[in-house]
Amino acid sequence: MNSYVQVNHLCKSFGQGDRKLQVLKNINFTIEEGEFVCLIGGSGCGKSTILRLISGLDEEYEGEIFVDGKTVCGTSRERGVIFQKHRLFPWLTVAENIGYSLQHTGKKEKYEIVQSYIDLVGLSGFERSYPKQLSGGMAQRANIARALVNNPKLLLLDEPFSALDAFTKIALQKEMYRIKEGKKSTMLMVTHDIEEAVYLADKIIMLSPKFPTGEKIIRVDLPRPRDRNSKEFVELKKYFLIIFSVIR
Amino acid sequence: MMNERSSTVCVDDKKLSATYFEMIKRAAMLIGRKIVSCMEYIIFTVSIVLLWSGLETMGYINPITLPAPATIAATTVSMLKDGSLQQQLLISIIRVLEGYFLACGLGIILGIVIGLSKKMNKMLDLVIQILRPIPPIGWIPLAILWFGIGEISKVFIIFLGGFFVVLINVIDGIRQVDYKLIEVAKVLEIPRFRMIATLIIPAALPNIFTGMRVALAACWACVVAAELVASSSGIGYMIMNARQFSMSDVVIVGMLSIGVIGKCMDVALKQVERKITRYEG
Repeated sequence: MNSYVQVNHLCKSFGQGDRKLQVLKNINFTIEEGEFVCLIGGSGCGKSTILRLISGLDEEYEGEIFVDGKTVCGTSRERGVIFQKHRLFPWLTVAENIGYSLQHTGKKEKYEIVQSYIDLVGLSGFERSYPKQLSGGMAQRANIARALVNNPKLLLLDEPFSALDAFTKIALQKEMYRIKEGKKSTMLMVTHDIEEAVYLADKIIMLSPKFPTGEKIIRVDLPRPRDRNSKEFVELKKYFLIIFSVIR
Repeated sequence: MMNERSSTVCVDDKKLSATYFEMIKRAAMLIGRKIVSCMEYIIFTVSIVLLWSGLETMGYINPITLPAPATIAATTVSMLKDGSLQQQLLISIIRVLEGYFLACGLGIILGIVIGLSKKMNKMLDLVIQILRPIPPIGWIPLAILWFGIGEISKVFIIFLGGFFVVLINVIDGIRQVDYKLIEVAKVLEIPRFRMIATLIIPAALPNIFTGMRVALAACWACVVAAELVASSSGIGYMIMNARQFSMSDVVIVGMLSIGVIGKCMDVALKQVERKITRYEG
């Protein structure tokens, strides 16, 4: 009965008085443990705001947010965040960036953990590089490793691949799912890319102020690994496009 | 058969000499480029000196008000020989370094504290903004009243010259740290003290270095001012003393030596900065 993430009657507005702007109006959804959920919607519909609220970076809202049965209170290493831009610390090397949050581990143990995550995201050989020397895709890989290093149960992804070129994007989407299967973690990803959502998600939450409840939830039951050119895949993509063209 | 073999050897020889030739050519080009870039760096300075000498020999410039470069060079050599230039310079350098390190130390520590705390910033802002525009020379009368005409008053003036520059730059640097990076640290649950030491200060380092470099120039400006007013030693005193005897060549030697030492110190500081911020490259 208890879902891993529960969002009930979530409302959020920015500003005060006459300038008050309601971004989220009565949003309800749940995420089961081990599920890959995508939040899609046009820009400004509040999808990143939901992510920030669940991560605990923003704590002003009305309604309820439960993660693992507890109300969200501040940030936690249990809830990892992967931001849109890599946000690596420019003065640290790739290995130092990835190991940044490992504080109470021994030197040798830390090295091994960091190395294993470098291998996981395919950055072997770039341990000593600085972020400026990396391509966009490689920097995003390092960013993913930095978030994974604490073994978060819930991973929140804020348009992680939107700034990458099409080839890198497809490769990283594939790897993201492989990592998710390996780690058995729960993932919530914000995106505006319908194909990405259909490719990755078990469940897609569409956000639009035009929906009566604020959101619309659609399960994606296509078999994995998914073929982007299969009839079902293309049809599902078309379906989402139609909905978005209607509500626009 | 024989013919063929010898011909291949011949080709190899040719190839070998060709590669040697290529290597020499490349080395020559590299050296050539170095020389050109060096020339570009000094050509303007050299042409000023040449023009100056030329006007002097043609009699357009009065050698008493502005001595010729050759005279200045000769004076420099003689002053270096009898050790008077080094002696005065050393006194000033020590004063500058004392005031400068004091300014950097206090400026950086206070700057970090003020930059981190909104409340501190609000409370101290008015005092800082009122004191900052006062030129350090304006402090000289008070400094003499407070500390006498000894070393302390000079170091105090030099300190004032550098302190506010460092302070303002450090505060700005700390406040301008990208909030997005701080969010990353928050998500990773990095404790506050560790976050300051490993994120906020490294992120502010480029600004801190800018402040330190500007402050060094300001400190040199102040040492001369302080020595002009109340001193019996140092490069500023030397300049003032020479003026009274109309030894304009000594005045210029004093001025130029400050310039050269200042440039050397700036280069050294730049090297340190480059080492520390090598990740930028």
